Amino acid sequence: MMRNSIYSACFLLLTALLSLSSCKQDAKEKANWKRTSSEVIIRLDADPDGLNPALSSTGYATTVCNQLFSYLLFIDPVSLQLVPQLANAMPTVQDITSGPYAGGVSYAFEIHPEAVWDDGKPVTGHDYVFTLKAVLNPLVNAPRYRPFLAFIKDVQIDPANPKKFVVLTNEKYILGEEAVATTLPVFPAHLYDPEGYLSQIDIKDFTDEAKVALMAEKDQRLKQFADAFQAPETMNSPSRISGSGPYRLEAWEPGQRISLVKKENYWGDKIADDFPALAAYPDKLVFKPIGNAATALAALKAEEIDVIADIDPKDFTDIKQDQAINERFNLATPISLSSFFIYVNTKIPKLEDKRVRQALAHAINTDEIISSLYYGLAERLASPVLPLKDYYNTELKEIPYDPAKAKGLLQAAGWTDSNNNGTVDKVINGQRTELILTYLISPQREISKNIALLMQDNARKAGIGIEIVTKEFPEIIASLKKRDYELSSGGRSVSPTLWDPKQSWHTQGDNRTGFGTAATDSLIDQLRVTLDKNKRDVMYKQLQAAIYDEQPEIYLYAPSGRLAIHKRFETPATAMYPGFFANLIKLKD
Amino acid sequence: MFRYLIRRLLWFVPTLIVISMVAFGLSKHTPGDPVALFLNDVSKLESDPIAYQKAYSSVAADLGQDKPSFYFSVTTSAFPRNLYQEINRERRNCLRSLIQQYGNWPQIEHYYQLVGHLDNRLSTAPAGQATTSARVALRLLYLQAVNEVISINLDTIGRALKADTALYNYAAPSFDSLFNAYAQVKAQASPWRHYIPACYWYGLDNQYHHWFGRVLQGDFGRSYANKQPVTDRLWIALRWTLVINSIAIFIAYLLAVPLGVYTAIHRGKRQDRWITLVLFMLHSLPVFWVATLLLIFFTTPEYGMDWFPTMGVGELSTEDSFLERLLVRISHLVLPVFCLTYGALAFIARQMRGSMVEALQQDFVRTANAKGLLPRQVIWKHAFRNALSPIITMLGSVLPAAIAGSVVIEVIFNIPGMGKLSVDAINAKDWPVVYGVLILSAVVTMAGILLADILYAWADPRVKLGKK
Repeated sequence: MMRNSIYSACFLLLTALLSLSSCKQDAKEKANWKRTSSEVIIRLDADPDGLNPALSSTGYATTVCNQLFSYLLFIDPVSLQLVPQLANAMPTVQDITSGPYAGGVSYAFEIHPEAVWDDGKPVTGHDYVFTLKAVLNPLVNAPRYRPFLAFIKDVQIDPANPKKFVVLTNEKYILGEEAVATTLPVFPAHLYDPEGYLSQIDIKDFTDEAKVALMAEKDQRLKQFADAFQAPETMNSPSRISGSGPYRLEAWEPGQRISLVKKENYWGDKIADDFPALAAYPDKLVFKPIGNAATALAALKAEEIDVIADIDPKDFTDIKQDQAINERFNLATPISLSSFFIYVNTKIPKLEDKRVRQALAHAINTDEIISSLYYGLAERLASPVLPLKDYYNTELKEIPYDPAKAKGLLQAAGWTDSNNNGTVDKVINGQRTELILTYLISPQREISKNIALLMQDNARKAGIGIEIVTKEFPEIIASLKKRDYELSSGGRSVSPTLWDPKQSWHTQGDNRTGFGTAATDSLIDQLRVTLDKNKRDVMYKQLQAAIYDEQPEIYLYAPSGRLAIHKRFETPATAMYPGFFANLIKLKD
Repeated sequence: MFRYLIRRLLWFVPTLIVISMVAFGLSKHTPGDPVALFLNDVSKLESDPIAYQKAYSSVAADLGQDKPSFYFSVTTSAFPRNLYQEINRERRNCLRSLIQQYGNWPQIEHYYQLVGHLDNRLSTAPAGQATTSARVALRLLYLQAVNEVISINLDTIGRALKADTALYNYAAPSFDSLFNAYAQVKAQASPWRHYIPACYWYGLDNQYHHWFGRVLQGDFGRSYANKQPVTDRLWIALRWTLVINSIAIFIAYLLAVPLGVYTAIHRGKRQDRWITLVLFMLHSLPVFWVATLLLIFFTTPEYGMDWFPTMGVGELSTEDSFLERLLVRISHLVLPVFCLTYGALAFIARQMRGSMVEALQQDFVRTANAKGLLPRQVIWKHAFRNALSPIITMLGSVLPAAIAGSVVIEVIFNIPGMGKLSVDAINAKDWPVVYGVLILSAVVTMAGILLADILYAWADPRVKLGKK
């Protein structure tokens, strides 16, 4: 009896499987493409950390939030220039010459008359002011945005037309327009602060640091607002997440999918022809978090996803040859806004002579790294600015791999191989010191290890020893901050628009290499307030030349984005992360 | 039996407390600063140290990191009671290593206060090259504990002050006191204090107490990642893991037990040799490899066998009939369940065969045969029941494994179960979820062992629980 039931269970399972597979095959024979709908399925590496743009911080969250919310201005995917999104034109920018903010700049915006929230209420300057108040409230966990907004002192809304408002700042700043208009999307005040905790408090109380700190202690409303605004539902619940973007959150199943559907009467559709940043083509966007790269690639081959970014360089080279993939997917390699380099500690005796750092730059074969580890899918760099920028200093040439020249530079700096052990040495503080440098890498990225091994091999030919040390990423950051390192792998994202060098290059910034003098500091300080493009570009070039000469960071490459997008769609590939704008993925006619 | 159960359940309590302490202790020693992680992407903030410090303190207070870690600390008399009050983890580590070297907290504290004092002074000093280099060197003093490095930086500040008269007049007194304070630290070093043990009592207002108190009420906190309650995330994940693992375990036992008995009966014959060979092969195939192969061969059109979906558990539409929904689920679960089954199947069948062979050689089996019982009765009623012990032991360990999920399978097939949840949480440094998984696994492991004990008693009347 028991045996019989086992057999029948097995038989049932087998039949179920067979019927399933056969109907799948039939479907496959009917059309070459499995999927034809305008629904776009996009792979994410991981789930976003919530869908509240003021509180979430990962790139995955931004990718999704950008479809739910809109900004005053947004970046154009191709030109990488700011273009109007919620605003109906670029702001009118004026110097403030008198009054309490003299020396600052004012930015006048007007929001599209068509722009409305989901309940039909208009998007106004009051919503913009609310957004500022929410983030400037010290009890809201959004400290990372505050430095960008610290120069905003007041917002004046036109009483006759609340869609018109002027943002007053007390500083000239090259990224002023960008900071004012793109730091955060605009939140609907009546939905994110239904109790109106902040509505009665003047914006000037928030922009005054001392006042707001005192309020945070004394005024209960700030605490009440922060609690409500940071309630988990504003991060993950479809009923509580609402913006003026083209899509609304339909469902979020962690680890499985986040589905967004296009709003039925999206206000931007009417004017999208004139304002491309408002365009939204797909009816439905589904983001699927898939951690494992092999699974994502198999899902791509099975057409279970339509868009995938950041494919491993080796896999990307392989699928380029794959006929089935090429029949179904367009592959694109836009340059990415990131740079990879080596941090050099300029404050230790072995590396304080710039000739040693220059020698090191000549002792690394970056071309080989790009060709053998990135399969050619990266561009060489010579400065912290990417070559696609018009303020890139074209006179700076990429440093060629030249062990002989490296040896010459080392010799000039007093490093010779006196004991014939293959590594150059020098007497420092009365002690014979070999030029053996430790190089920090993180174990997370396999490619870092391979780059390090190549570097080690290259540098040996110039008489420089490199010892690879693996540390967890937070530990590397700690070492960099303490400047307790010799060499370290490094990477950073690059601004699509202008470059504010203060953070990395000013001696009072988060300066990890020890670069900088009073002269470069003052150049940076000046540069940050020069709104005249021509003058500013000259300064940008000077600073790049100074960095190039000192080699506190040895620039290696900017990897290309590696995208696959299903052939039934067309969309511009962009340098902006993650390489595409989900709303611009358009079904071909 | 009942008393035994009560006693075992009581033992759960201290075991759980010890596990929670180990988990909590480990969390205190993972690299990376939880506050900095929570503040994420603040590198931009760091160019403004004052704003950073402010944001840091408020987040530290929110996360309860400004409290002592535990009820008490056992240390040496060189360490002060209130070191936890320096909430910045990097600075605390710097102080700790200064204390380890010199052992004189009052002098070290004085020196460290003066670093802050000079920092304030320099931040309002006239700008210039000298101020710049002095401030850069000073900033590093907050984090440096090595004598040579501190000396170099002090030296740099000294030289910078001398190079600029205005700055010298402005900041020299502060610098001199700092310089002297550091000299005092070295001169009055009292490393002998490290030989005197000290124990400090912090009371109930500590991080562990608050955390474990909430855990006992079933509140594991909220996931850092998507701010959902951890319990919700655990339940969702647990559901999937239980589904696929129960099916896998059920199939594995269903096939393995008869297979083991069959091979034991036919020991040494051709059937036994062939089945053994196949089982060994199955047992030695690494699951990540098989899973990846299945994924490539059976879920993509690459080899013409695009029979199953690649990943996930499928999307159900409310309009689908029950059968359609069932098919969607089955099609998604076939490959992961197969991967989970084949290894377990091979292992259980081998165990079953081994213990069955042993049982068949026992005297009572010969007696049963001699009594003229039917072979089926001998095998299933006499030998099989006696051969069950190892299978039950395995069930005890299978249960926790079923709850903890199979990391490899869930990651490869993108199934939102416990294994994938733990890996994702570890990658995202989402500690509340990691601890939730850990505590749940601990409880289930204990329950699994208890269950195995009870099953022993059921299977073998000779086992008397609770009696010596």
